Amino acid sequence: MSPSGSPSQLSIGVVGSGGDGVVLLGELLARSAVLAGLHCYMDKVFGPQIRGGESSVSLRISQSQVLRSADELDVLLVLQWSDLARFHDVLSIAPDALVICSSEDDGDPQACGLPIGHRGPLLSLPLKQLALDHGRSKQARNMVLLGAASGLLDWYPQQLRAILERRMQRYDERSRENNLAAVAAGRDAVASWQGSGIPALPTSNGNADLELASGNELLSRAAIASGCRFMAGYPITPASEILEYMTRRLPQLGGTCIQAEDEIAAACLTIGAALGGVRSMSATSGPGMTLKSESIALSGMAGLPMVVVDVQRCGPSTGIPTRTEQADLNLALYGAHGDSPRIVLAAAHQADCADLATQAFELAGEASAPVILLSEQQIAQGLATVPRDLVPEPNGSVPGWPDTAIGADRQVQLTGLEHDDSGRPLSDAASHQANSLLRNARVNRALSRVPALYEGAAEGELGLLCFGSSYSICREAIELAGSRGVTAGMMCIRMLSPLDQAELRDWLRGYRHVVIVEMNYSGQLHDYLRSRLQLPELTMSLRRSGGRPWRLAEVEDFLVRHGLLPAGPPELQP
Amino acid sequence: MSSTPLFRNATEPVWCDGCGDFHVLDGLCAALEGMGREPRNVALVSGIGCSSRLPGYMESHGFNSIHGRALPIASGLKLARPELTVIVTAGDGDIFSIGATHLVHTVRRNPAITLFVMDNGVYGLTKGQQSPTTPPGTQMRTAAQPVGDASVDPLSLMLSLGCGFVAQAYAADQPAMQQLMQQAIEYPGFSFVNILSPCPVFRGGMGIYKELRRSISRIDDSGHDPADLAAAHALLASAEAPLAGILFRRDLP
Repeated sequence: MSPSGSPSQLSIGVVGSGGDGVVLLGELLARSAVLAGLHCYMDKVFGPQIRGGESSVSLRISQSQVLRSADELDVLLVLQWSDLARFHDVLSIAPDALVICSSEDDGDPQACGLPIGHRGPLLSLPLKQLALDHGRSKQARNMVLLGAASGLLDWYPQQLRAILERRMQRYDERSRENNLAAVAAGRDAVASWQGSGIPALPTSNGNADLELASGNELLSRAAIASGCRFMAGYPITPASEILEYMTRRLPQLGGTCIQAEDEIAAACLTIGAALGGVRSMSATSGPGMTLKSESIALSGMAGLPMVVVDVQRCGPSTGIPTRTEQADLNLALYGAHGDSPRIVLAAAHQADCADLATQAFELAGEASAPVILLSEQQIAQGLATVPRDLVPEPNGSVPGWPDTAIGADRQVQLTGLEHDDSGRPLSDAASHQANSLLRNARVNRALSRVPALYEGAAEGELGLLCFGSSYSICREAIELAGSRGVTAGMMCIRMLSPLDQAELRDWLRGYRHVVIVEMNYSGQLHDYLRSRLQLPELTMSLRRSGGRPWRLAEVEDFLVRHGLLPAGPPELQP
Repeated sequence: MSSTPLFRNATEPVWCDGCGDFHVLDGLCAALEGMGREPRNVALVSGIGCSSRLPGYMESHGFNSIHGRALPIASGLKLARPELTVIVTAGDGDIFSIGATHLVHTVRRNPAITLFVMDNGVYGLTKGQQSPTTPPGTQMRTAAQPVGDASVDPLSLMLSLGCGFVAQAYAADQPAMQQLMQQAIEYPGFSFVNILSPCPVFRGGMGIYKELRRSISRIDDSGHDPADLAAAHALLASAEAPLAGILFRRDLP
């Protein structure tokens, strides 16, 4: 995509080391664009050591809704070239991208990932010296860079000023002055620059009612709006933000948030609170999810509602803890001993985290069973614009889970043993069979309560089928197919268990070719669907391990290679 | 051993003849009734093991959950429903082995719940394996060699963790056990009573009752001040026989 010829959107990458203020720089740019009425998406990618290593953001602003970062960056802001080297797989830089970097950096741009043959403008500024001279600390380099980038791009000046002022309220007067001086120094340093090739900004189309939020934040807010007043968690990337949000917010509402000693205790505290009738949740990532599996089975056996969020990251084991993947589907569907039915939901994007969190608490209460809500690093920590009124503020109504709780007027006897209605243990085969059926039936009542997301043509040549964050790439892929004359549609399953097979069969009938798209090595969704229903003969599987978000070019290549999409016109060279 | 009707339900326990847990069940029912508690205001949470079947034999609310996890479940319940009297009934394997992590951190959180450990020094439900409180040198019927691992001393452990109420009772001494149970339940923080509750089938035969009755040393008789932590440690270190009574009690505001 040509940067200067794309007035509807623009993408910017920022890289540096942990503590350089990369995320802050990205957020200031993003928030000012949102204030100017644009849609925005921002991926945050950190090095595997989580803190202290390299960090990057990839920001995409657009006149219409965007749910993923762009394939290629139009602008690259570099605090340190060596850090770019760690992100060569995540950040792809357009050949004519505008690059601003430090003249004090002895790293070799090309060796660190700047494309060979880069022909866009490249500005080297003495970021550190300017930061020391004007910001009185080399820590202000990100502010100098912000000033330079915003000056060159003419970045929504009024809105940036407002966002900066808002942000600076957190600092004392001296730091405020220093930071603003650093921004001004960066702006002054590029004021007289005469080169060409600066990309144009998308103009605002006045979306005044948008806010920028991460999936983890939206999920937390929606949980609270749905009556959640108890959370127990254990720190784990990339789910910790949920615990942090709830720790601040729940006590203000008379609720409780506990940082437990381990993932098992977090799950059990949650179950205990549910026994008391309080809507409760825990949030974790894959390794923690594994530890919770015994408790999840207890919730189903005892008949207590439970909501567990699994923010997926690259596994197995510690894997790449900071990067995105969709490989816990098997764990969510099957992760427990015995026949342990559960409801499994998967959020497709940031706003969907809020919707599904709301549904999770309702469904858990109705089924008196565990609900597992899958999210992904990309959605959980990435920021997207959502309608400002997406999540209602808590209004004083706190519904609880009264049906299974200890009540004033009845005795509650629960057990993880097979048991009768009054909690007395049973050990005969016939009762076990009958109760297994009942437990399945409780979960199956949720069938079709959370409809899939559909886009594009309901019938046609090509149908893309996915879950979770693959939604956003499929949505762009069917648009691409449409632009090349291929009628295409997509379905993103949000309730994976219980699975609405009839709904799937109907959808599958509409397309000549179906591709199942998922970000895991083994094709967990493909195998799951194949185990549940007869897939059409021409069903293909597009899958790879996680580690970075999908690029449209990957899906395009796959479709072209398999004859499902005509190749695009060759790229024009200037 | 007459059951107390108010708290005891009609279910017949699965325990073996001579099990100390019968005494604990009777004692707990009597203690709660004696305190004027109502079954609807009492919740018992247990893990897995012989002792963990106890909640199922009482008219109060009960949750027989998973092995080792009774403490966090009870803590969640107490946080959600502070008005309930929440009691954990557990075994030594449940609490000092698979659930030991939770013991450490429940003491730190100090919820107003009471833990009664029925300590028989053996895994009875699985028929006789060594537990963390089995003394070294004991020959278990399930093992080729005598126990080689050192044992956990529950009282010393709980003192070290900083538990505000640490006591030990002998299951067959009903009046003393009931009194300790009531004091523990009334304690405003996390309270712990280790109850020596024999398993004659897998540890020591019926003779173990006689032996315990003969050897137990009553803390009350020693002039010990339960508010004195250093004295509690010293008493424990010098004790040559199992102690019974309140070893340590920290006053809470």
